[in-house]
Amino acid sequence: MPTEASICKIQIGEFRNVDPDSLAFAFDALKSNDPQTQNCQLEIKMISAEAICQSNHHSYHPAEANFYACTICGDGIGKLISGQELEIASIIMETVQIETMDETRKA
Amino acid sequence: MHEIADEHLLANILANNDELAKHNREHFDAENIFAVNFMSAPGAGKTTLLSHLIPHFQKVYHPAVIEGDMVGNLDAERLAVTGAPVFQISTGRSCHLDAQMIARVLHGNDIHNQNNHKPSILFIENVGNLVCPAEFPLGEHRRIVLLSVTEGDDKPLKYPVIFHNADAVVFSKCDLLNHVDFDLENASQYVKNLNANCSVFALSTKQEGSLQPFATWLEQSIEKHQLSKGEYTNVHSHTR
Ligand SMILES: Nc1nc2c(ncn2[C@@H]2O[C@H](COP(=O)(O)OP(=O)(O)OP(=O)(O)O)[C@@H](O)[C@H]2O)c(=O)[nH]1
Ligand SMILES: [Mg+2]
Ligand SMILES: [Zn+2]
Ligand SMILES: [Zn+2]
Repeated sequence: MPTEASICKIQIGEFRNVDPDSLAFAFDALKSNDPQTQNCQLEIKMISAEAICQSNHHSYHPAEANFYACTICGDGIGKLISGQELEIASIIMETVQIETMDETRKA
Repeated sequence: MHEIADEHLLANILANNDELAKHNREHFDAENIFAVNFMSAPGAGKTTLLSHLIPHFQKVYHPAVIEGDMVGNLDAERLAVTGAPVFQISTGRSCHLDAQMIARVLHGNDIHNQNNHKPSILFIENVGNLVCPAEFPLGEHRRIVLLSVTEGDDKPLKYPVIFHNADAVVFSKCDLLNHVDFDLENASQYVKNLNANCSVFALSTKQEGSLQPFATWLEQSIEKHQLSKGEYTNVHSHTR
């Protein structure tokens, strides 16, 4: 039975150098040549960054407006706990049953 | 009639590169090679800095170099005069090195045995670009970003990803500080905000002594690595 992808969900973190419009453009160019992907919709979810500051372990959103420093104590990023995603979250596949000649006649 | 299956994948889109980076790291560790990836905007001084670092490391570490350029081998020729083995990668239209390009060099060349010396440090000069090289780990042990003082002290704020991912940032061409409005303190602060664990250096290749703290940091990094060998953390892996 033929299957085709109907939705592809992608997550892009704020701390990745990936432009969603460019990705969508490339996706559309690539999918059109393949019957299994030509009807596939791309859903892009942007994930905002969340940092833990180095000295005081505050959780904050590192933003340019605050020079990426901790909004509570001014310390720098100790680690990022989100914002570095670049992944396919899921693909929805549809199994399409093509009506055969026989079935059409029965109906 | 149709059935719907929602496949939850959480598949890393750059998995191919990340797997090859890990593979390169295994090559490096098997051969006792400490690999350092130098990144910057075009012209920040990567090749010039390497031409000074190579003689410094020559006696003990016998450095080898992988030179990434879109076109030509000018930089490779500049570095070959130091006597170090230099492997050129011409990336063509690609604005960054990727792990596959490094793997090809490692598989196609005997970089491990040059003039009867085994290199124990490998300098990789990436293509001049502050965006894409951040996305493609090569299997390197340390990532260095150069920012020359003529580029402006706000650049860490404009290219946060590459500065966040750096282990050390080198402010280069500091002999020109008097001629430009580059505030070293601000620039260092921005880098530390983006990555509190990042080391920061200010130097000029016109002032030979100014390279020493950075050279010492590299030597200490090699020593530290020899104690912690085998641990591999991808630049993006701490998110998960
Ligand atoms: N004043 C001064 N000029 C420097 C210094 N380091 C490099 N330069 C000059 O900056 C220019 C670019 O240096 P390169 O070493 O070619 O820079 P690069 O980063 O390797 O450049 P690409 O590989 O093309 O990205 C050259 O004209 C160098 O002579 C420095 O410390 N001080
Ligand atoms: Mg160069
Ligand atoms: Zn804090
Ligand atoms: Zn291999």
